[in-house]
Amino acid sequence: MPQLCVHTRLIDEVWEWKIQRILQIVREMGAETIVEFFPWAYFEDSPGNLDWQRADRILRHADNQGLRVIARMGLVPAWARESTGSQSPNTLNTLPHEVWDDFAPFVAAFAARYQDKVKHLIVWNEPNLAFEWGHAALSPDEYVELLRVTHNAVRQSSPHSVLLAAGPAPTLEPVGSPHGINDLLWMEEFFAAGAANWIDGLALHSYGFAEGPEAPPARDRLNFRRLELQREVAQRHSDEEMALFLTETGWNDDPHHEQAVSPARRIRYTLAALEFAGRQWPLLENLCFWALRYPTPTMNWRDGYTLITPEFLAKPIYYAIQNLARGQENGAALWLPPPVAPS
Amino acid sequence: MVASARRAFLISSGLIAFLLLASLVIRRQVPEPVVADLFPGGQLRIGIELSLSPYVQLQDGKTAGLAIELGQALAQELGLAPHFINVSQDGRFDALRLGIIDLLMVVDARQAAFQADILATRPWFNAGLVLVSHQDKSLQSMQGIGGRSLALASGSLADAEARRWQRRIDAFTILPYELPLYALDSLRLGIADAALVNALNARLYLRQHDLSVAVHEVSDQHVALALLAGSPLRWQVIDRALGKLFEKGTVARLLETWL
Repeated sequence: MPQLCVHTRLIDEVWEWKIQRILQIVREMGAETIVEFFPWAYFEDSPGNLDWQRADRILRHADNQGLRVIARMGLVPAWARESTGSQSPNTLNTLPHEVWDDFAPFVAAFAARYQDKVKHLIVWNEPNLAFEWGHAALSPDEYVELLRVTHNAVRQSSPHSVLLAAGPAPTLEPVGSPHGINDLLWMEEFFAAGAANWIDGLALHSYGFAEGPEAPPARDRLNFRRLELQREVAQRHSDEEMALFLTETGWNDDPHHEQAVSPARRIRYTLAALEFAGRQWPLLENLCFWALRYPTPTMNWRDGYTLITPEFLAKPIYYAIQNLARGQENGAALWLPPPVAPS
Repeated sequence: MVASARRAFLISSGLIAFLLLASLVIRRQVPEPVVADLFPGGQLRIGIELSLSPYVQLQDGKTAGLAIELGQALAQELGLAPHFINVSQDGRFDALRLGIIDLLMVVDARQAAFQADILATRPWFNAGLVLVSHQDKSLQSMQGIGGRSLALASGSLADAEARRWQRRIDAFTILPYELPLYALDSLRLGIADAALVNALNARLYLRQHDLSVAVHEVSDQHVALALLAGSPLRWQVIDRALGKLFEKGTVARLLETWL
C-alpha cells in the first residue's frame, strides 16, 4: 500500500487545539503524511515582511504527531496582485509576471526555514483551470517558467528540498473552453516546454467520480486510473522515472452530487483503491485523500468528500480506512440495513 | 428653573423637528437606483453551478431547475434578459469579482459572509436540518425526542446534531442509516419516531410519499443570492426584486414546483 496521506485544511483554523486534535485524528487513522496549504498571502502581508507564526504552529503539531508534511504553495497577497498598477480586477490566484521574483523567494524562504520538517513542496495548484490561474490566459509554458524561477530560488536556499509540479485537475473540458484545458493535453504541452528540467516529481490529482478504482482508464473518461494516462505522458517526456504523488483523490457520497456514490460504495471503492494502488502502482509514493475535514461545513456536495465533520464526528469511512491501515478486518457496517416494512 | 426647562424643551423639540424635515428633504433628493443604469447591457448575468443539484440540473441537455426559474423570474421583475453562466464551485466568488457574472443564484449565506467583498441578499430558502415526525405524534423540538427513536444518516451533520442532543436531554435511541432516504423510510414505516435530515432531503422525499407529517426547523442554512459588496445599488435592486417575488408568491410557487 502506498503511504497513506490525507489533505488537511489547517491554515484557516483559529484555535490551536483544533490543529492539534485534527493531526491526532490523522495519526490515529493511520496516515503518515498530510498535504497542507501554505498561502503566500498569509505570510507576507507587505514585501519582505514575513510572519511564520501560522506555519510554525501547524508544523510543530505535525512534528509532535510524527507526520510528514507536503506543503502546497500559492495564493497571492494583495500588494503583489496589484503591483502592476493595473486597475483591472484580480483574484487571490492572480500572479502577475512582475512578482514571480517575489513569489520564488517566498517559497525558497519557506523551504529553508522548514527544511528539517518539510521536504516536499508543491508549486501552485491545478494550473490547467482558469480559476486556479487567476482567470489569466492558461499557459503550460508560463507555468513551466514559474517552476524554473522557483526551482532556481529553492535550490539555492534548500538544496535537498523536493519540488513537485502541481497536478492538473482531471477534466474533459473541450478545446477553447473558458474554464480549463484537458489535463492530458495540458501535460503534453507542459512537458514539451521542458518541465522535467525544473521538477523532482509530480503531485497528481485523480478522482474516482462514479466509477470503481479498477475501471480502465480512457482519454474520454474521468476515473481513478486516469493517473496512469497522466503518468504515460510524463514517461514519454522524461529520461528517468518521475516520482509520483497522488495528492488529491477520493469519492464523493453527497446524495446531491451528480457523480456521487453511496456511502457504502464510497467505502468499498476507497479501500479497493488503496489495495489496487499497492498492487499496481509501486512507484506511487503517497495516496492522499481529499479531504479530512473543513473548518466549517460548506453545506453543499463538497462536504461529501470529507472523512470527519467540522465537529470532529468521524464518518464510517474514517473507521474503514483506519481498520485497513491497522491491518484489521472491516466488520459489519456502522449503520443499520435499509428499513423494511414490518411483516 | 421652570422657564429654563421649558426653553430647553422648546429648543430640543425644534431641533428634532428640523432634523426630521431635513432627513425627509434629503431622502427625497436621493434618486432611486435605475436598473437600466446599473445593468447597462440590459442583461442579468447569473452565475449557476451545474453540479448543484437539485437547484440546477441538466434535463435533456438543457439546464433546468429551481435556480433557473427563479433567476428568470428575477430578471423579468427587473426588466432584464437573463443570461446564465456556468461557474465552478471553487471559482464562484472570483467570477463575481472579475465581473464575469452579476450575481450568484445559489449561495450559502454563511459562506458568503466569510468573504469580505461579497454580500448575500435576503435568503430565499432554508436548507438546514428539520425534524420530521408523524402529524399525530408531532415532535416540535429536541426536548420531545427523549425516550423515543430518531433516524438519521450516519456521519452526517444530523448525526452530529443528535449527539449534541444526547448530552442535553433524556436518553433517546439513534437509528443510524446509510442514507437520509432510509432515515425517512424508517419514519414512514413506523420504525423511528422521527427523522432528522436536511430540508432538501425532506422536501424531495415528501414529494414522492403521501405522508401526514410535521416538519420543524432545527437549524438554519440560508440559501441566498450573492453580489459584490462594492455595488450597493445593485444589491439593493436585486434584493428588492427578490422581495417582490416573495410578495407575489413566486418564490413559494417555485419551491413547491421543484422541491
